[in-house]
Amino acid sequence: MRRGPLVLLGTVTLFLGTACSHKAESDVVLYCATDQHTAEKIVRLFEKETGIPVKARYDTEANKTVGLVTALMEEAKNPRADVFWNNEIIHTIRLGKAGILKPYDWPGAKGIEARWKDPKGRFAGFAARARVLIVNTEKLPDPKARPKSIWDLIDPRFKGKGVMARPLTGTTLTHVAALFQTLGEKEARRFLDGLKKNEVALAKSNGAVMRMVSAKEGPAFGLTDTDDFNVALRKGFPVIAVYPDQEGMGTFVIPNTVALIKGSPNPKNGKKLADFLCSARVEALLARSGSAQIPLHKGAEVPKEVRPLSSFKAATWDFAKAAEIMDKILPELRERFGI
Amino acid sequence: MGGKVIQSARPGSKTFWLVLLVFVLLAILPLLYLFFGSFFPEGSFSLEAWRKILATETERVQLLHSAILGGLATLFALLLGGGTAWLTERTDLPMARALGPMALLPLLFPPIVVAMSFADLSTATGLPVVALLLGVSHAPFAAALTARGLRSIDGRLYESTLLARGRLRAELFLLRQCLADILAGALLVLVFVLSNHGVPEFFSVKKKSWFVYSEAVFLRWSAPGKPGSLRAAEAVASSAPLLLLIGLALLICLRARRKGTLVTVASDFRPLPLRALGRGKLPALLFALILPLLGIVMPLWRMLLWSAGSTANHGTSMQTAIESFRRVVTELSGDLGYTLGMAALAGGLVVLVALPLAWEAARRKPWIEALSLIPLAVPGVLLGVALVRLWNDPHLPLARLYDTPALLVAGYGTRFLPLGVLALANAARRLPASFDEAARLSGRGPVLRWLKIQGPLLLPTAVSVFILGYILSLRELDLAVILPPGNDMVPRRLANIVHFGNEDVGGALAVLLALGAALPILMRILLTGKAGRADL
Repeated sequence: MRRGPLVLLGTVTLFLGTACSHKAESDVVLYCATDQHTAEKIVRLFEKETGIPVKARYDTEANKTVGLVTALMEEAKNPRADVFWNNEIIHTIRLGKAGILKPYDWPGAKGIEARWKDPKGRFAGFAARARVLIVNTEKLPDPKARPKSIWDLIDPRFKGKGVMARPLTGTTLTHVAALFQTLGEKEARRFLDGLKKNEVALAKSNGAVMRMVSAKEGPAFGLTDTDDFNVALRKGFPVIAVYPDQEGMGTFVIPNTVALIKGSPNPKNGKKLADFLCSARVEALLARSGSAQIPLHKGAEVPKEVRPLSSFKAATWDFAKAAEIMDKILPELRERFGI
Repeated sequence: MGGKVIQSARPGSKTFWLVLLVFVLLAILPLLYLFFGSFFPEGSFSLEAWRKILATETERVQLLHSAILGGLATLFALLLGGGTAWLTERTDLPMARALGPMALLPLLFPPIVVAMSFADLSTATGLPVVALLLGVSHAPFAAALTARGLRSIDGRLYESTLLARGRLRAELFLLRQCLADILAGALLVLVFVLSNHGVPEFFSVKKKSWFVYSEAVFLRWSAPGKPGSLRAAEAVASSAPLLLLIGLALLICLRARRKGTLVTVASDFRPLPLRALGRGKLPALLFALILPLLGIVMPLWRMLLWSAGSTANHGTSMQTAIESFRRVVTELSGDLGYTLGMAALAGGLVVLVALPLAWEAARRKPWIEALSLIPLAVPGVLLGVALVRLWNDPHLPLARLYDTPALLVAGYGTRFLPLGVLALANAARRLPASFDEAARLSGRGPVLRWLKIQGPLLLPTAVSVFILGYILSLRELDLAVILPPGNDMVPRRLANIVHFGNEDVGGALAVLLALGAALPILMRILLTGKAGRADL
């Protein structure tokens, strides 16, 4: 049939037309799960200073890291990414265990304590977020009557006043896994049981926690990340951040992580980008950004709106063990929280 | 009425088989590969992953939730979309010519934007709200297909029934005649609602949970494990109940559409007479305004307010709005252009691939319609992963295209191909056999017959299919996240911007995206003076 060639020609033209933007050999490919708006500035700076073009691919928080982690797993036989910049640590540990990450000595992160780095060199932690209580000062005007611990979420004094994200994804899931690891199963389950009894609202994300607490009605305080808290602060809402459990186990801190991909197409430039990302300079830029991340380099310059790591008691937890625990408790959490 | 099927106009069989092969390679084989792989986790045969389907009470409840939500949302869509179509096509409703096309406008905003806008105005939550908003977002399918059904009925048949058997019987006759189209619209709504997890999750924030099964499927992919692992197999297997539910709905839809082909447009066709609304004009007008108000005015208004800073404590200002739009134009115009371009290419690909498939489906291979439905019936995540597996194989020449926009166009094109095949096959079935027979008698060859007769007659539907593929590509998030070239797509960026508290820029971006989605509709109106509301 002679109209066949026309259809074929059209289809082939479409494909060729869209396929012409193949990346150059020198490009370094970054998979980035952190806030695109913040990360893009860092990436552009790297490109400007090194002349190495970066092809960055970003994830969405709304998609619960389905995108990049799944892509890295699926691409394992034919890796496309050189560097993975994750905004948390547990999925990076998972990728490491799956043999997808390449060990490295991380010269860029020399100033960061060993506890933030993988003992086998598969990733380095940098620029962290703390898990804080965001408190609306208009809803809880008396400073003495404000919560000071995550246990206050289940304290009858605050019945119906608290909110947290459902611990099924993101940093809240990491936080709960860390609680199981540090407190033990019994205490962690007591905390989870108490959430329901104390009518703690369950939001879909930490951003939603921030929005609910900031609103004129609704919960008075909630558990969230420092970057979300800073969004509320920037928008002028009457909120403060309480670093919880300063007289107990301490505040949980979750670092960004950077890792190299095994068998990646451009390892040389990948290393340059990875070194750049975990450098003290980038940590300082992230601290000054809207997400106000906490630098982990010793002696790093910290802007006044960011509390340095030395100014509060951080909880000590084992990332690898928490990752193992997370795999075990996930089915239970899905049952408990209705998913 | 001439319902005789044309058997003589042979399509290009080589083209057909080639296109079919491409479709099978692109969509069916990768999905089958995933499906069979789930029986071999860790390298050996095991039913372990499949044993865990619906193993927990929670999952069973979620599936029930999905079915209830799907049913209720479809009812809302039928009521609003079908009701508006009936008013604009069958009555002397004021401004009917404008209100008919306006019922399609809710497609311009993604359902999650409609949901966020509603949440801005009301604290209401739970099943009825989720069902209403999903119903509104997908009501255009019900409106378009109901309107098409009503327009396909010869007015003389209705009038004969009216004279012979009275008003009630005549209306029942009408209902019977366009039932296939109404049902087809309803079932398309159901398919899209069942695969939506964002809106139910969004409204579960406020204590009242209403999680649906697609949310559970999606979460399984949040930690899928390496390909070939038990966890990855479980993620694939978990899609099966949803696939069965959607597959069942789609098959019913197909059957209904096939029955609808008895009603055919003939040259001496006469439209249905209009009914006078009398005192009911004002309430009817208000009813017809519900869909555009909820589906387009509300989200447009709220997004404009977001762009002016309404989500911050400082209040709104024109200066903030200007700054938000300026930032979108200066920082994100590249992404916006890329997104519209990709959507246009996807719409074009849907038409190109659907045409030969639909032509054959209408003539002698109806099974093609069922086959083409598969990419729409599976969750977007599953289709995305299947495409990654295929296109990232280093041994295939296709691997070169993996991180190019071609992959994205192929993904969207595959995903929305079923709508193109269904619509064009239906249009092809309605072509009167006499047209082609006359042309054959004049000695015209198949190419000329196609170019002069079938092509022009199918063109309005092809344009509608292009617009639908284009608009739906602008709403798709799962594929944009999974496929590498989806990185620069605006729906993905929009999700991130809003999540990280930049609602002002997000509002401006959502408004510009909706304007971009409306572009082909506006162009069509400018060029033809018609909005083409019922050519599906």
